[in-house]
Amino acid sequence: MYVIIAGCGRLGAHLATSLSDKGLDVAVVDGDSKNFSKLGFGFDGITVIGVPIDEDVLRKAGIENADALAAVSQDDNLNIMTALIARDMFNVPKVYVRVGDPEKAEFYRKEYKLETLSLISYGSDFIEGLIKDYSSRDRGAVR
Amino acid sequence: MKIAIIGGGKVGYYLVKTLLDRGKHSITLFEKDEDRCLDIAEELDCLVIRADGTEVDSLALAGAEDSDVLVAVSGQDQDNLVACQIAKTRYHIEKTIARVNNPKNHNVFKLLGVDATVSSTGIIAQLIEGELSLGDVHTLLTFERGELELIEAVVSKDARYVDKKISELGFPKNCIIVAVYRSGKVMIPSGSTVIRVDDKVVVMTLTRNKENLKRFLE
Repeated sequence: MYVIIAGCGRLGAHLATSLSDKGLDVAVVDGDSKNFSKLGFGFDGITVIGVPIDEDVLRKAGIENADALAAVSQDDNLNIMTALIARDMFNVPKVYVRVGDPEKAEFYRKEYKLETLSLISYGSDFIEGLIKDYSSRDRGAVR
Repeated sequence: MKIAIIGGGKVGYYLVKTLLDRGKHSITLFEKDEDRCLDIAEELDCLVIRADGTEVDSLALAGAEDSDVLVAVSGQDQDNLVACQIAKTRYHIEKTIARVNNPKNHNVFKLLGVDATVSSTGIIAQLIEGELSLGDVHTLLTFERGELELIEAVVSKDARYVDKKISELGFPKNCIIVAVYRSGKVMIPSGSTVIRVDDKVVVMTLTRNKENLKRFLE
């Protein structure tokens, strides 16, 4: 399976390395080549320097053969645009988009049917769950 | 008109100025940088909002949700795209215009629902090529998002249509001669106008017919 990771921040790098270790073919795109150092020496995939909303850069990363693309940079709008290009211009079957802003994530999920992930929402909900568990155990309160 | 503008950089700033000079418009400008906001608010007669214009609630919170037009002129294509999409889908703003920094993004923006895109890089490149074009046929202007072109050609003495009436030319389909310049005078031609050597003809054509037209003119 061929996956393109757009954005080599900590999340992108971690994801790319993990997928590559599991045997998937991975291409990582980032505008700053210094970010590729996060991938570590064992990384088995390809790296492409450039902006992921540039058609040429995406073609260089093999988007025409990609099975999936994950847009995971820290820039919500960049991720959204990358995802829309991947899905609507290049027909990539599976596209995942990191969108920090929960409202924006919901908006694009609802109106544009994008598979958005708001890590802020998930993280917050998860920790809230932990806190509720802890407080109900401790005081015997049922919530 | 009620206008919402995203981006208070040079383009946004001069756009507000120009619009205010041209008519009574109610303009709301969104800019993230506080100092920039203060400078613009001090100088120009528009509502300046210090906010990220690409957040889903921004237009509503600023009372700009009923704008007639949204213009996104920030320095980042992705921000301009998102601003236009939110304006269209959430606020049903009729007209969305985006600046595209990378001319290649014209197609992407069109595909993704933005009504009009402007790339100064693209226009400048066209001007450069217009000036330097080899041969006597070149494009003056492209509009309707690239579907219509205005082309200028100088009639050379070898052209097969010299000294012929326009109605006899067998002009290609989807093209029309809109003007003829001769010895410093401009004419709007009719079918009986005769084309002479050294005339400059201005032709309006559907872009998809451009190659046919070029072959005909050369």
